Formats: sequence, C-alpha cells, structure tokens
Amino acid sequence: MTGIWVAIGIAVVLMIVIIAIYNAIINRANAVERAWANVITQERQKNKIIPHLEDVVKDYKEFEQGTLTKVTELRSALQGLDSGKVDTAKLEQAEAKTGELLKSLNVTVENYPELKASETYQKLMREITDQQENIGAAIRIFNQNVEDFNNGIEVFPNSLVNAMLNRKEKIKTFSDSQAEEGFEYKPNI
Amino acid sequence: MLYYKNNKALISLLKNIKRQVSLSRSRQELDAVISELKCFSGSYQFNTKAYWIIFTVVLLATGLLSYWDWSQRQHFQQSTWIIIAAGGALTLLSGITAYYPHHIMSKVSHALLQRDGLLDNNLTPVTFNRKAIARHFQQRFSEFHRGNYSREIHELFKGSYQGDEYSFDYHYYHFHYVDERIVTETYTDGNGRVRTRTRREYDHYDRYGLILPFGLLRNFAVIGFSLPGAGKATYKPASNRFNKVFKVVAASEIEAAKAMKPTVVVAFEELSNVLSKVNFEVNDAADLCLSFADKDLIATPNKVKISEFEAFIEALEGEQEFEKLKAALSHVHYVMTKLDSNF
Repeated sequence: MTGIWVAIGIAVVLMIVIIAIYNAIINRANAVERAWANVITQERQKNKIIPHLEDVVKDYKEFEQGTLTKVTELRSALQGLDSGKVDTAKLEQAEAKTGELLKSLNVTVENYPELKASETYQKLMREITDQQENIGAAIRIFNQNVEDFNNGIEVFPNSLVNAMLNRKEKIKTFSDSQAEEGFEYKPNI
Repeated sequence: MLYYKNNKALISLLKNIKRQVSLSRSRQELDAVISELKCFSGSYQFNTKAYWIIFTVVLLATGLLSYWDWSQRQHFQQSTWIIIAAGGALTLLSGITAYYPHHIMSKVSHALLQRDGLLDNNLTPVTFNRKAIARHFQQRFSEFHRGNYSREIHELFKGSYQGDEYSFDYHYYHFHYVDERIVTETYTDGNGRVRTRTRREYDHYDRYGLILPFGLLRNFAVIGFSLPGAGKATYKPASNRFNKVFKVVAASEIEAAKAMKPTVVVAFEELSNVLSKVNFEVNDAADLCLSFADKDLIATPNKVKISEFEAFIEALEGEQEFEKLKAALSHVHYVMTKLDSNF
C-alpha cells in the first residue's frame, strides 16, 4: 500500500515539474515575441521621421534625388517587417537600408554647409540618432530574451519536455554591427 | 619612554595631521596639511622591531615556564601565577606598543586620502542634524520610510555634476535605520518549569543614495529593492533581465511605457551590474532619490600609506576617481537625456 502512495507521490511531483518547465518555455517564447514586437515598433518609428527628412531636403535638388531613392527603399523595407513573426533577415535588411540612407545623407550634406548648419537639420539628425539608439537597445533586449529562451529549451530536462510537448525550435539572435553601434550607452566601469 | 625619538615625533605629527584633516574643508586647507607632512625631517617609517622581539620573547618565555611548571606538578605554584600575570601584562603592553604606530599610520593615511578624494570629486561635507534631516527626507521620499525604531542620516555631502547636456547639484547621503522586534523565547527556570519571556532586538541597516532635482518625471519609480508604500507595478518592459531585477511604478501604464524606452531599460540593466538593491524614485516635486546598498561610492580606492611616502604623495597629487559615484551620476544624466528627447 505504501509503495502505491510513493508511486503516486512521485508521479504528482513529476507532473508538477513538467507543467512548470512547459509554462516556463511558453513564458520565454512570449518574452521573445514581445521583445521582437518592441524592435519592430522602434523600427516603424522611422516612418514618423521620414516625412520630416523629406521636408528638409526638398529644396535641395541634387540632394533630393539620391536621398529620396534611399528613403523609398527604407520605407519598403520597413513595410516588410512583421511584428508577429520573428524574421531577423528582414530586420537586417531594414537596418542596412537605414545605414545606406544615413551614409548618403552624411556625404551629400557636405555640399550644403547652410543645410548642415541649420537647426532643423541638426534636430532631425539628433532624432535619427536617438531612434537608432533605441533600436540598438531594443535589439539587445531581443537578443537577451532569445538567449534565455534558447537556454530554456536546450538544458536538461527542459530539452525532454520541449521535445515531447512544446516542440519549439531554437531562435537565431540578431547580429548587426551597425545597429549595435547605434546604441551608444557604455557603463563607466 | 615607550618609543624611540623618531617614532615619538612621527606619532605626534600623525596625531596633529589627523586633527587638521578632520577640520579641513577646502583644497587650500588640505594642501597646508600636506605641506606640514612633507616638512617632517625624520623617517616616515616606524621602527617597532624591538617591541615585536620583546612581545615574542616574553610570550614564549611565559608559555614555556607555565608548561614546565604544569608538567612537574599538575598545578601552578603561586609564584608561577605571578610570572604568568606579569608575562601576560608585558606581552599585552609590548603588543599594543608595537601595533599602535601602524594603526595610527593606517588611520591618518586613509583620512588624508579620503579627504583628498572628496575634494577631487567636488564633494563638500554639509552640516546637519541627523534626525531632523532624516525626517525631512522622509517627508519627500518613500525610501526613508524604513526603520520602526529610529532613522538617522550619518553622512551628507554636496556635489555637482557637469554632463555634456545637463549640469546638476546633488547630495550624497548615508542613511542608517533601526528595526525593533520583540522576540519570544522559552527557558527552564530553577524549579524545572518551562517559561516564556520576551525581549527586544534591534536590527541595524544602512542605505546610501543621491538626491537631486530631476525635473523630467513625477511620481515615478523603478524599484530594485522593497520601497515602502510604493504601489503595484504598472508596466513591464520587454526585457527579461530588467524584469528579474526591477519593477516600474508610475501614475499610469502609458506614462511608464513612455519613460521606459529601450535605451532607458538597458541603462538600468547596466546600473544593476554596478550598484546593488537600487531604487530610482522621483517624487511629486520631480526630485530624484537614487538609493542603493553600496557603501563604497565615495570611498578612496587607494590603500597606500604615509610610510611609502613617495607613492603616497603621488596618490594625493593625482586625481582620485570614485568610479561607482561616476557611474551612478552618468546613469542619471543618461536617463535625463533619453527622457528629454522630445523633438
């Protein structure tokens, strides 16, 4: 009789452990999705900045032609991002297009010293820098959550529970040196 | 004469320096103290070899004699007791005499370096009433609603920070509070009956922090250590790492979400690697109290002593940096710049 109770006890404990691991995996997966949505929200903030950029450069013909092409490419890349589906390749593309636009802006503005010195342009560049920093930080948070999630499905006995019940796959972290450079916060020690 | 001539002169100099350091408030006053130290004509090293030899010899002799007497008679004779008492007293006296010069050397060296470090970091001591200032802070911040028995401010310094975008004055404080609790214990009395009695126990705690005008938020807190009276968390950022350490309390979820931009979230994650048990509390007057458990924010990082004179003077003449203080202030400045980016 005691043996049966011991077996029941072990089964109950095992069940609780499995449920806890199952829920932890789900929580970590949700945290990755939330962090991803956060990255996309930050990326889409660029859509608010682009019209200001167009306003600033519209009086400079040569400037306008090259920059507007890059702006269109960036808009198209931003449209391709889906906050509901983790797709680091598309994020990489949007970040590359942002990099190209900023590079083009920096090179062309050298020919227009009065534009470079204008308060509106300076303000716009500060806004873009700030936005890039937020994207960099959001990507860092996403990568941390991905690391937590991957650890959560790979360590034993979580790997067993995942293989039997959750069936989640490992997620790739986002690696983009330009985006990481955008985030400038460095602790002092 | 317990000490040699040089030892005596050096002890007298160190005592004088110690008194003057405690009175110095400005760089000029401290420089005058350092000049006096430099003018000392003798050696900056104590010679305590003889006292250590006396200490060792007397200790060994007393021990051996006691052992011999005990092994002969299985008890001590009255004369042996007298020798043990005299030997013990002499050992104690020679030990203290040998130790004291090194003790005062360490204390004065530390006091000089500490005062120099405070001046290097533009920190000036503030005169205050321990209990009154604690009460004043308690009216302004929940952080000081701790300790059911007593609350006191033990240290208060005023400083200023010059950032790329913002400059601000701040106060650094050391808050000490005591919790009283009643402990009930059972014991057996002389008649073998089990009885209970109660006694009061006092637990002492210390917290440290910075207070400054923040201006960019009101009634907002990022809590990494229990904050008495703080409401329920209103918002959870996306970061697992942040959520493990902190909770965010604000007037509304929207306000919290606006403040906790990804850059701010990551800055707090970094801060939690530098400081422990951090609370970031902005009150309704938009003043910030950044509190933590670390006691070494304004502690001199140098351990060099006056006896290593050249290295000591070099440490005093160089700029001492309080790395943790710098990190805390640059965090506040960084958060200010991120919250003020309304283009």
